[in-house]
Amino acid sequence: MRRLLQQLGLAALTAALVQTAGAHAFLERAVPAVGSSVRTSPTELKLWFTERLEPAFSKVRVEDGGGKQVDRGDGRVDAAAGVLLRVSLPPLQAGTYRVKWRVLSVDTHVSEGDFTFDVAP
Amino acid sequence: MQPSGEATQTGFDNLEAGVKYQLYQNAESESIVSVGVDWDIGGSGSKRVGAEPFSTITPALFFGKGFGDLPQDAKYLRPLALTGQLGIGLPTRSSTTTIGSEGDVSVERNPHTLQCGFALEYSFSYLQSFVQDVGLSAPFNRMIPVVEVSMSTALDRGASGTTGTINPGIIWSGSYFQLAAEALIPVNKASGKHTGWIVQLHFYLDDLFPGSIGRPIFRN
Repeated sequence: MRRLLQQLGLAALTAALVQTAGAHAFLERAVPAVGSSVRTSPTELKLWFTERLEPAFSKVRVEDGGGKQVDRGDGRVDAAAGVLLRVSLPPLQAGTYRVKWRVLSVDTHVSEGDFTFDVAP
Repeated sequence: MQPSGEATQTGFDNLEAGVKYQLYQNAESESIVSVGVDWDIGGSGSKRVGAEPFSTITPALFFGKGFGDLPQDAKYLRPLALTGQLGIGLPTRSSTTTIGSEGDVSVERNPHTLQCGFALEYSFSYLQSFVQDVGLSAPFNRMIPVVEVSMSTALDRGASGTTGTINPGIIWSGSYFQLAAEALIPVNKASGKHTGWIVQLHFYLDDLFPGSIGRPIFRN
């Protein structure tokens, strides 16, 4: 009985503590996909993360091969889907583009990363 | 734990505590160097599973290197990472005396040891998120094949020789915990005759309890 009570107590304590849990936001998938080659210039870049993001501190930037920013500068967390970070793109010429992202999940963990995609000629 | 031909033994190993200081970190080259001290607290674990009755202090140098800076031609090697440590195990007792059930006395020497270990791993998560989306879905997109090598060389007190294991295995890394299964292959006869295996469950305390025990003590 004592052991059962101890286990129940531990479970309750764990549940109470885990209610405040949160994790680093990892990139779940992207469109255009990580490392992919697309035939037509995408009009938008979308990044889905594993955790909800803090809009004020989550950024994305798309650069051309020379490091110049090419996105429209309107990167924002989707209001309906808090795990989606998106930015509009102008018509892109053929070449390799680098996506740089830095996000803050709602529990204040920061994570960042980058990847490339190609626009085929 | 189930030694070959013997009954299963259960119990906790000695409690370990440690401090670590980061000397160097470079995000571009994905490299890091730290120094630290580990304290294996003698007598805090169960003798049944081999926990020592004495403490061992191990100052050590730690390093880590990711290969995300490899050129595009070698992009599928970028998810590789190498981590390792080199330390000196300093037991707090030079010998351990044991008195058997029939009154026989045995003395075991506890030498200083050179501890060397490294791990080579390949992160499918890194592959998917940083290099190339190859279409892996759960649970494979969070898996990390790994090979760990752990070696110990006795340095003095009449002891000599090297023992160790090579541990190939797989890790699944989630948002709040990590599950790992590895084979333990002895590197020589002194290390054992049979292959064993180990399963580990690690919790990410900073993610589970970000507002309490997971909160950094020092924050920039």
